[in-house]
Amino acid sequence: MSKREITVLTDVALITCVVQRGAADDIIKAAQEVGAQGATVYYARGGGVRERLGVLGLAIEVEKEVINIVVATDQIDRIFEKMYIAGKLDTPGMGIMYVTHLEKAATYVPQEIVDKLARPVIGSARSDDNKP
Amino acid sequence: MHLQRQKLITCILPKGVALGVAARLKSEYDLMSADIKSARGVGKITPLAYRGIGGQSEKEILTVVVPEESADEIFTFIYEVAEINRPHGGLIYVYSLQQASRYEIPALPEEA
Repeated sequence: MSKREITVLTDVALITCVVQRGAADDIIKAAQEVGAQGATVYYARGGGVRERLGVLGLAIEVEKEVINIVVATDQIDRIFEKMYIAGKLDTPGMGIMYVTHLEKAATYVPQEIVDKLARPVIGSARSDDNKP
Repeated sequence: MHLQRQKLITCILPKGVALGVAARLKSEYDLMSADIKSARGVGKITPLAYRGIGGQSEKEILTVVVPEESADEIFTFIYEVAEINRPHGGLIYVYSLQQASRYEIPALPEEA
């Protein structure tokens, strides 16, 4: 097998958001508006506060959508806040979301972007520039 | 209770890829447990978006718990076997688990 290089991303985090079925698309749209590149959604079944809200638990959907979004660490707060508001997660029973810090991630990164990141920034001040 | 430092590797892969990767993990690393979930991917750039059909595509999520000491090696192995390094090839990430139970299957002969 030929030796290939992997471009590993390190400053990344995973935002996971569990909401009622049908709510995911609006939340993803809100996340994309503030910089999220994409999302993965799968279905689940959830309970808990549902049994205590509304008659016979009918007020809250038992079917859930789980949204996974991988973001850069400097984007976490902005995207998290936007998703929280879009999903109305301050209302009981609407859902829950949390952030997991990832050790590393990897995906396809086009060569031109790898070259661009590897190139030193012209005019950037280095810490040893001012040394005599 | 025997606990061992473990990491969780998750891959988001195009539909149809995950089962083959799980089989390779079993044969080459003796990893007997891997989960595969069906999912949909929503992105600004998807294969179908190019054709103007939509921004969603079918995905599979593969999750596997691996020993900490071999996590990097398995990470690279999955990256190459699943051909993640191509457009729309998916995404792989890893993080440490605080605690994990050990999953072991007793030594039984393979069924014919």
